[in-house]
Amino acid sequence: MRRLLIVAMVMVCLALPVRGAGLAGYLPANMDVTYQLLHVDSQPAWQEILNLYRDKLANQNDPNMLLLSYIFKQFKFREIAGGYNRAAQQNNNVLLVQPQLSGPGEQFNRFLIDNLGSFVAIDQNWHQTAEGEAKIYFDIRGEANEKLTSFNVANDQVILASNSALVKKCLAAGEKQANIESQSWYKALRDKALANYDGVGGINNRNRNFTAELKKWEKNNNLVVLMSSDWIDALGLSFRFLSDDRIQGRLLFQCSEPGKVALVKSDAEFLGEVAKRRYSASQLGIKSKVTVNGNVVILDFEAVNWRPILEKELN
Amino acid sequence: MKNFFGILSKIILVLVVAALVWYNLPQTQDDPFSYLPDKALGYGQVKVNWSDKGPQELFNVFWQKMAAANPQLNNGLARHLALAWLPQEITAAVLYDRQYELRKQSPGLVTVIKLDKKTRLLKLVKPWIKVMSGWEIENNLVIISDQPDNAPRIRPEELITLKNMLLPQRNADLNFFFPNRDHQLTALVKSFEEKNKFSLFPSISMVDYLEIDGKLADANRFQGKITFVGKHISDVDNIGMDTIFLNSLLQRFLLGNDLDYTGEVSSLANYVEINYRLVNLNKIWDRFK
Repeated sequence: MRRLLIVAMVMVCLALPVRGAGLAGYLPANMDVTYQLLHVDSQPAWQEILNLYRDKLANQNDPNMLLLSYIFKQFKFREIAGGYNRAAQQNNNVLLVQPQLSGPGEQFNRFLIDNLGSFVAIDQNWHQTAEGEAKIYFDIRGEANEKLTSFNVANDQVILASNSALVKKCLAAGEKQANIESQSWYKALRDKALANYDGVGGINNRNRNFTAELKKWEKNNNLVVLMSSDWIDALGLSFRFLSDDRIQGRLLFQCSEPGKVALVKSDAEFLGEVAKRRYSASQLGIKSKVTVNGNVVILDFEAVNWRPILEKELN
Repeated sequence: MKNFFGILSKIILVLVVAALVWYNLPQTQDDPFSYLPDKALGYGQVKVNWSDKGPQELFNVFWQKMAAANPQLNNGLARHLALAWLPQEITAAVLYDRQYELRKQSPGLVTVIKLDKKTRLLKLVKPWIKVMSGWEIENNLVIISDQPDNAPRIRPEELITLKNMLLPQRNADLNFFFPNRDHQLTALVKSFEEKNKFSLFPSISMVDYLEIDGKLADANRFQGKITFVGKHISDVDNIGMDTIFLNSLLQRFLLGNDLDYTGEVSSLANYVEINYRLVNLNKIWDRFK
């Protein structure tokens, strides 16, 4: 219970007012999977999605998830970003949040941040270390798993990570040392992303980690989803909300060999058809179109009446 | 004593001659199709010439596997007997009705195996075989059915259509015909779609009938055609889109089961066709031990 209280207080600090650059700049360069949600406070659809996600988290019997659910319920954010890297031995998982500059509970949050050290000191499992001027708090029991048990609250960002070393890497990335934005796969996907997106995500598959995980799934389910997965270097998704019930999106497949672009294209067309057919009975209208730009296959789609589907999927 | 053996050998000789005469007497030939039920979801026929290259290779693969597990089968006579008893023609019908599903039963099945004179020997042993209930021997046919005895048989006009659909494909080892006149095929696909919440083939109600044929080119290759015939020429675009998706799904499903499948979709007038080819079948045979 005491541990729960401490983590709760830490989580509340997520609502601290922050200022500074986009959160993607704090993601370390070795992240395999990244995501970024923008305009979270100004886009009503985001609030709705986060509320749905919050309810899903609240239904899980995991104290960490319950606290995240509480945070999503109490506070509004401007931006959320995250990523993970599945190294051979250890899960590296990071979540960055940029809360609203002003909002409910701001004074309370300031009180918490000022007294953070004394709160964590009451439990011997919580440790504090320093990286320059930044203080990193971490729970030694959680250093080896992917749960978010290390954190840093600085002036302009809140970093939650699965271990304290990763928090240090995020801080270094923020100082423009080897962050994700310097990676060519990430830049290539961002360049071809939809304009004015509200959300963007990417998977680096140059190490074929994603291919290996997909193949495991395909073997278990006796169905090959991507016949071209051995020749896909990176995957990207970007989308924006057009209106209350319309969403526009773009899925990108970066192909490693010009000779395999046609195979990647047939996979993209198959995925577009599967989505259309999966949801056609539930009044979700999906239109999709596949084009090719050099070695990149682009699946553009537009969906109408997506809210009930999301509600169903998240429940 | 000498006389006794003399008489016994004569009796045995007479019995053997009588058995041979009885076995070789001309047998009334029944038409397998006439035993098929009315309004089935689909009718199928496997008509195999075991001396053809493909079936022969396939038989050899399985015989070698069986002989490896049972060394007593590793002689020429056993192999010859096994080959002689293999049916050359199997005709079957699958019945589908939502009622089966509601009762959580599997669809009905009627299978007619043509064994010619060998059915006489089966008739002799049948009274001692209790495990295979639901099978009857009528002249040259063995009929295995889970339908009641008074279930309606195929109507004469349907029989003509069915024979026209199945028999011209003599070059195929396997042939299926799914008439959709009573909408069983539509009902089956819709039921699948409802259960899986997935629009697999929404234009199925526009399909008049579906035909599938295939031939074993050798023990490793199977090829043939899947043909969707539309009720009207104007239905072909919709049927074509669904067929292209089905072809892609088939390829991915079979690839997920280690089978290399390629299919080319084409259309003409009111029908859409997939010309398919399945290779490396040995991966399937390897699973049988």
